Parts: sequence; C-alpha cells; structure tokens
Amino acid sequence: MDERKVISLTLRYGVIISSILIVSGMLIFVVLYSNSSVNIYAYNTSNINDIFNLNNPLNISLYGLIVLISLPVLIVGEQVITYSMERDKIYILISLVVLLLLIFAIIIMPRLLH
Amino acid sequence: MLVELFLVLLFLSAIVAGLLGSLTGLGGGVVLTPILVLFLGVPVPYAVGTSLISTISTSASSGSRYLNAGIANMRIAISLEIATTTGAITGSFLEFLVEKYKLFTVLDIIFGIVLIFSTIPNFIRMASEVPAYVNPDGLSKLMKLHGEYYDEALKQKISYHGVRYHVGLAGMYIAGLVSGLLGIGSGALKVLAMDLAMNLPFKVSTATSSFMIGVTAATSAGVYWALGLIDPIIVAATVPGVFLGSSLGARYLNRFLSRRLRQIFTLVLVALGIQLILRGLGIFG
Repeated sequence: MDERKVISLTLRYGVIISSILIVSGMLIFVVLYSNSSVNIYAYNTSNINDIFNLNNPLNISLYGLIVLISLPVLIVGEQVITYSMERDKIYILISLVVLLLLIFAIIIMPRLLH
Repeated sequence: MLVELFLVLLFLSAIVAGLLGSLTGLGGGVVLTPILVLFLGVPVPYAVGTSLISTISTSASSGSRYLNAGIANMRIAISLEIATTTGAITGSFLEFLVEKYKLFTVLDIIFGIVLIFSTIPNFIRMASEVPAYVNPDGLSKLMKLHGEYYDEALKQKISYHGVRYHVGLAGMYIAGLVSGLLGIGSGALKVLAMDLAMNLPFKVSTATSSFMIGVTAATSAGVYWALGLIDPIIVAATVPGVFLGSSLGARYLNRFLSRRLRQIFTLVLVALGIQLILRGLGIFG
C-alpha cells in the first residue's frame, strides 16, 4: 500500500477514535452531574495520579486526548519507516531527529520546566 | 450560563474555527481563542490550551485529506519540521525569561505589527494563481522539495519546486519559537515562509502548513498538560466541532482559486495581528 495512504488513514482514524473517547467522557459527565452546578475548571490534567481512576468519566476524555497528542508522533514515526524503505538517507536522519525532538518535548521537557 | 448551552456554543464556534483553520493553514486557534475569551469568558490560559488541542485536531483531519489529495507535501513538511520543533523547544525554555522581565506585552505588540505588515506581499501576489518557476538552488534540489498536484479550480496539473530551503528553515525556526513563547499557533509564519521564501504554490503552502501544525502543537502540548491548562470539558466540545469544520474546509480547498484563499488568509492574519496588539495593550486577555 502507498505509504502516503497509511499516514493519511492513521490521521483520519486516529482523530475519529480520539473524538469518540473525548466526547463520550464528556457526555457521561454531563449526564451524571447535569443538575449540580459544575465548575468546569475544577478538573485538570496536572494531577496525573488520578488518570487511572475510572470513577471519573472525564478520564475517558483524557485517554482520547492522549490518542490525539500521540498522532503527530505516530505519523513522524511512520515517516521514519517510509524513508527507511526508500533508503533515502537524508530523510531517514531528518525524520528520526524530529521524532526524538517530539518525544523529548512531550515527555521530558515538562519535567525539566517544573 | 447553563453548561449545556455553553457546550453547544463552543461546538458551533469550533466548526467555524476548523473551517477557516483548514483553508488558511493557520489551525483552529486563531479564530477559537478570541471567541473563547471574548464571548464565552474562558480564561486566557485555558483558551490557549484548548486552541493547542484543536490545532492538533484540525491538522489531523485536514492533513489526512490534503495528503491523500497530494496537495500537502510530506518531504517539505518533515524537512521543515526539524526547524519548527527546535524553535518550539527553544521557545518553551525561553519563556521563563519572558515572564521574568514581563516581556509579553512588548512581544505581543511587536508580533502583531509584524503580522499586519507581513500581509503586504499578499496584495502584490493576489493576482497570480501559480508562482512562476524559479530554478532551484543546490540545497533545495538535494532535499527534493518538488512535487505536483491537480488544481481543481484551474483544471490542470501544477508542478512546482521549492527554492531557498535555508530561508524557509530560518522562518520555520522563528515560527516554532513564537509558538513556544506566545502560545499562539505558528501557522501564519509557516505559510508565509513557504509562500514568500520558498516560492511554493499557495495551496501547497496552506495544505502543507495544515499538515505540519499538528506536530508543532504536539511539541507544546506536554508542557500545557503538565500545567493543567487543558480542560477536558472545553476540549470535548471543541474537538468534534473542529473536526467537522476542518474536514469540510479540506474537502473544498482545492476548488477555491488561490487568490480567494489568499484573501481569506490576509483577512484572518490582519485580525490576528490586531488581536495580539490588543492583548499586548491589555485591552483583552
């Protein structure tokens, strides 16, 4: 299969899966708490320990967010594979560096800055 | 405001944001941030976090289509992403300096003015549909920055070759830097670098920018996540809206004349410039 197609499909299905997760988490939350006055800023992503607690439906939304944020990483990874198959040395190097920079920025940098 | 009503309004604004974002290559944030802040009363940091996430969503849904249609160029994208990601990381590290010396005001105003002036070349190029072919320099040739696509508005195949890769890289580094520093989408500078410096057809510039902005936004997403500035409820209402809007925009991009897209792009850029100047002056945000 054409590698452009693979990347295009990754993006398409990735964004659909993440939207479904994000929206269902939010809908369950709104249904459960619709009568109480909700402070929508109360829940946030900085308390990472809570993320496995399934009692909070918003965690389902967070899983969707993780899928969404990992999409760019995934497609850069797919490009590394594509250029490896084409044996295009310059582009193997470039896509590898971008992949490493991305992983550094998403996982390591937040720890360095706080 | 009722939570349900608030969510519906968010969803509707996100559709508009996705539509404009995918057509101009600017991402959803440009339109979304002011709507969130001015009309829906969302605090600025959360608005920026939301626009970051919606940029990834715009980029994924429109990038998918542009890639399939052959308008976005994968090699041009990744060869420039090396500069945007480095720029965004530098920006995040420099941010504390900006905060320490309270430079936000100055940077916002300077950048706003730069954006408004950067639309001037657009008026000169407004008449041309496809840039005249320029013989590529050695580096751009080595990087294989060429491609072709079928233009549905002109009903012909357009071949192009990017030039001045090094100038493009410099522009992309600044684009990344600005997005890391000011938390605004870097689509504007990306399109300008590809359009003005690299002499790419306008549709290729906006489509490739759409494809790239997801990567730049993801670079900053980790930091915003750790700061707790990504609100799952607000994001849940905007992500599907942006997805719908940008899928729609991406479907019709190729049918527009480049000149029409350039007009939309110029308008949005001027609005963004004014918005930044106002933010710098403390009038909004």
